[in-house]
Amino acid sequence: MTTVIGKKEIPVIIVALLSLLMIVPFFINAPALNSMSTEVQRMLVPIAGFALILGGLNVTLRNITKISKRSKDWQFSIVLLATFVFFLVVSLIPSPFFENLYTMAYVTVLGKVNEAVMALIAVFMATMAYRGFKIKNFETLLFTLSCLVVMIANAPIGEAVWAGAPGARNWIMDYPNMAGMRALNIGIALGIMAYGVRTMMGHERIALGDIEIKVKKE
Amino acid sequence: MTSYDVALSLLASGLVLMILSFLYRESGWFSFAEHIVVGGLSGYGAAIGIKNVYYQGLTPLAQGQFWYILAIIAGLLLFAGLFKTLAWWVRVPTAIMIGTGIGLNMRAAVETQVTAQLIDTVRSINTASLTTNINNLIIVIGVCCVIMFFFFSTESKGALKPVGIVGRYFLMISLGSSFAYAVMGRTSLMIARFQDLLSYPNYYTIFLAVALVLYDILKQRKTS
Amino acid sequence: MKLETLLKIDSRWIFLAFLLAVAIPIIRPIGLPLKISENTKQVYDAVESVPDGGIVVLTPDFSYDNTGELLPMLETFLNHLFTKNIKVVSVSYYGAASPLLMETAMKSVGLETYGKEYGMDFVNLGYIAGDETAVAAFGADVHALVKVDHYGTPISELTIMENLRSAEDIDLEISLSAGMNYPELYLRQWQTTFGTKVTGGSVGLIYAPLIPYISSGQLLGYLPSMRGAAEYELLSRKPASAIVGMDSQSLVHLVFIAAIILCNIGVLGSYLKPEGGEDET
Repeated sequence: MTTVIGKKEIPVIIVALLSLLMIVPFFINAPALNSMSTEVQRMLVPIAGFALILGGLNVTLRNITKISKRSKDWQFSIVLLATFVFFLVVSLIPSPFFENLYTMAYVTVLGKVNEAVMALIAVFMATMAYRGFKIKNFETLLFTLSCLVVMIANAPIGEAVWAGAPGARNWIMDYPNMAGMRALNIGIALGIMAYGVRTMMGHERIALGDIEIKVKKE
Repeated sequence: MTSYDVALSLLASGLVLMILSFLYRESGWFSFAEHIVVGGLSGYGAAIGIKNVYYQGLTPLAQGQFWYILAIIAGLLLFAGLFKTLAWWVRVPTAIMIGTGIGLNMRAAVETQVTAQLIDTVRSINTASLTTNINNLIIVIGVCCVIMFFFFSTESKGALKPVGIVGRYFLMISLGSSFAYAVMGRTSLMIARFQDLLSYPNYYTIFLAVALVLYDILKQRKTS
Repeated sequence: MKLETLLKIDSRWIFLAFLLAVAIPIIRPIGLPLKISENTKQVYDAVESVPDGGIVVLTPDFSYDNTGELLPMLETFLNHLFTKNIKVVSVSYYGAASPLLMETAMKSVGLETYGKEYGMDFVNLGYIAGDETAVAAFGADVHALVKVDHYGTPISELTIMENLRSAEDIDLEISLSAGMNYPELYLRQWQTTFGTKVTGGSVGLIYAPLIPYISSGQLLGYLPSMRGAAEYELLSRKPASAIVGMDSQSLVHLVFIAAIILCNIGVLGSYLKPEGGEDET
């Protein structure tokens, strides 16, 4: 007996059926389908919860391997695991003491350090502006001028020096910028829809992990 | 401020300065603080995941909504990827998430991101105000040219070439203004950190950090 | 001095200039005036137009890595909302830390200051995983999706939740977002489907791509980062940390402008060299 539905087809069928279950009740009045669609949406929330747990588990396993193999900088993996366990435990134990402890540890310490990591980007953006904003042609001139005008208008000191700056910024933002960004948004939306239809029809299988990337050996 | 608060505050600012030390040079201090951030965020994320499974999956199941067992099984299948022989089964929950996501995204995307946007693009260029006419024309030309710039189905030559070039000009203006706002955003993060670092008792850690940097500079000069 | 030497400044001098520009105004504030934009007024008016006893859903979709940008905004929105007779429901779809951020903001704002009561005028529903699916499910049937609030209290015991059954009951959605997809998914799942009004504020990075939605009237204005928060603080007559931070913003922007100008003088210098051409640095 030949198998009509193989391993490759099952994920595609699931994608197609669930996509249609989400789309159809939006356009036609079918209370039964609508409630089924809502129920499936709700059932996806615990699956997303499992994904979060899997993320934590992956981090743990990777670092345990790093420690056991004594890889480069393995000592930092101990720090990472200790912090991981600390936050996992104090976040889960339902007692006022632990709740206070995790709020304090998160809000007072971890959150600030996390923000400092992101704040580093600002400083590197300054060096990027210094090294990358070289006006060499008309495109870079437009890029730099639009950036300079918006920056001047965004800073209160810029407004104080050049009263027309906010007006110039608003014009840039509301017309040329808006036109460019709108076209990008429309393009992205159409691209996502095309990708969705291709996935539903089984033409786009990368997302479902069905394509192995083969590297040709020279 | 209790001594407990002071200690926590000093610990936080110490770790923040370890992160900022990357601006001077990469060192073990930076890696130490970086690993604390990754460990802490993963731990907290995993805990939230467990709570989510408990409240949104196990609780309805315990209340008699037996079909939630399917969600639990699908969620557990995510872990199949950890075992080579079972790895294929990960595709089932992945397909469930992708299928639902695609459907939800597609059903309203046309109206939200395409139709409403196109309606606002088609504006009159025959109003009483010349400025409005010019501005409306800029929008129409800009949107069309940028879309044509990303139209890869035919080669950009002949009449299409200048259209693509004008599209590129519009994109440059958009990206320039976008960069300016990104500067303001990222700077806000540094300002927030400095507002904290320059308050009591955190500023003591700054003196210590500056002293350490000066010591390192002197040490490097001596060795070179 | 040869002009092209301006292209060879050590990055660490720029780092130092940046950090000093951030720190000096914090130690010695300048107090530059700030103009309020039409966009901010539009957001303010959207909040003002919420009817008496109406329900506002506030979604802090950001984490601790964006507090500098969005926490002042969250606080200023709460301050404004609590001066009015409006029910505020907070829920997040972004990340696990968002409910804690709401707690931080609430500690700073203080429900008691405005004579409000938890469960009656405000509720923190916490974080719901699942992104777009969760937003769609919340919009369709709140009570079927959410069983307890962030502290484990069943929502059936919270008076505020009695009148919030679906997105149709939301008078205004205020989205504070660190990612481009968040305002878009509220537009897709709540506005297009249920006609919910959407406004809010975002990090600077995603503000420019959101302008088309403001222009089309889908978003009722949107605040850009710290500047937006500072203007809103002024408008609601409650100056706080965002306005204080704007002095640092001024100096940092000057550093950026100076860096761009210096670099281009250097480029000009390299073109003017007798042998021509530019040094690639």
